[in-house]
Amino acid sequence: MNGNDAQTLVLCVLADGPLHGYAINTAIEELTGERLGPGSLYGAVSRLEAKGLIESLEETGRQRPLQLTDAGRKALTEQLRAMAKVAETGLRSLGLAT
Amino acid sequence: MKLAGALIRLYPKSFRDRWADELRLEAEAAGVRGLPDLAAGALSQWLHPALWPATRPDQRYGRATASLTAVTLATWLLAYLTGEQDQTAILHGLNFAAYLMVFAIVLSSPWPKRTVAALTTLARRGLARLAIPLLAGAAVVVIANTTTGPATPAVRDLLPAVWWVSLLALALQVPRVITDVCEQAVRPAGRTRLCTSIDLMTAANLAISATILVRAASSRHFLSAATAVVIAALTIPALFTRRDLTSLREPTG
Repeated sequence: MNGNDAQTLVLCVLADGPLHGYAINTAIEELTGERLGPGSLYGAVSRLEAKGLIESLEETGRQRPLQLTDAGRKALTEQLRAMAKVAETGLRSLGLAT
Repeated sequence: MKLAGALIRLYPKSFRDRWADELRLEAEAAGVRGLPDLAAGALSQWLHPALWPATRPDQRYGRATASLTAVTLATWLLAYLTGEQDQTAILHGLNFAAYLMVFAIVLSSPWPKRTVAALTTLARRGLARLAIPLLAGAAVVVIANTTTGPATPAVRDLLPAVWWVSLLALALQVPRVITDVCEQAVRPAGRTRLCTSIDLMTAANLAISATILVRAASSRHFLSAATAVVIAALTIPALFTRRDLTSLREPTG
């Protein structure tokens, strides 16, 4: 899984609401069947934060919950729409579209 | 998981300050299978200094500047070393690239803040990091230009060694000075200046690499050819930094 995939997954699971790092990976595991590696997860989180797509909330214990920003919500929406269009075209080409 | 702890220590300090506890928790959950990813993550972080956790956009630009300075100084040192080894007029062919490189450095240079406190901090940090290599290099120049008669074998071996170690130390310490002072004493260049500087530096690096490679091919000098490849490869982190700078959130306020 490349870096951009990891970033999309993190954005995707945060769309449901704020989560801390371990919970983000658990949600990704539920979604895809496998956890991201520790370097991939926090590399993605750090990049998304630098790009202003996610932000951290106040610390709870040793962990900081993260949430989508408005820019992150917009970026995720655009990305998912583009992916949906690709999926729809591919499925239609395969004769599998409903 | 001692190995996981050791790998986490390879991450940049600002990254560890922010994420080490959670990274450790995730590494423990992943077990041995997570170690290659942990190592790859550390390497990836060092290639993307502009994306490390920061409290202000200036910090990211400061780190990008330090990284570019390190790449530029490494290129200059390698080109200088190759020119010295080759003992040819190769450095003349590098003049154009050298001008480009100097222009790139000037363009990306952070400007000192015009306050007494800032200038004092700059002078203090600069002296602390650079005084020893500067003095050692200056001593070599003085000894080489004032000694008359044949030098003893010990001096003949020692002077070049001290000269190259001084240059290496300077190349390592100058980026650290930039990182040290980027918050209190200087105002780093903004995105446009840094990106233009990276473009110029990339052109200079590739020109230097090509010049050395052509020369190495004609003289069948394997070490010079390898150096040319390393110099070309040094553009990779700079180009990563350029991409990262353009993806950063615009500073506000």
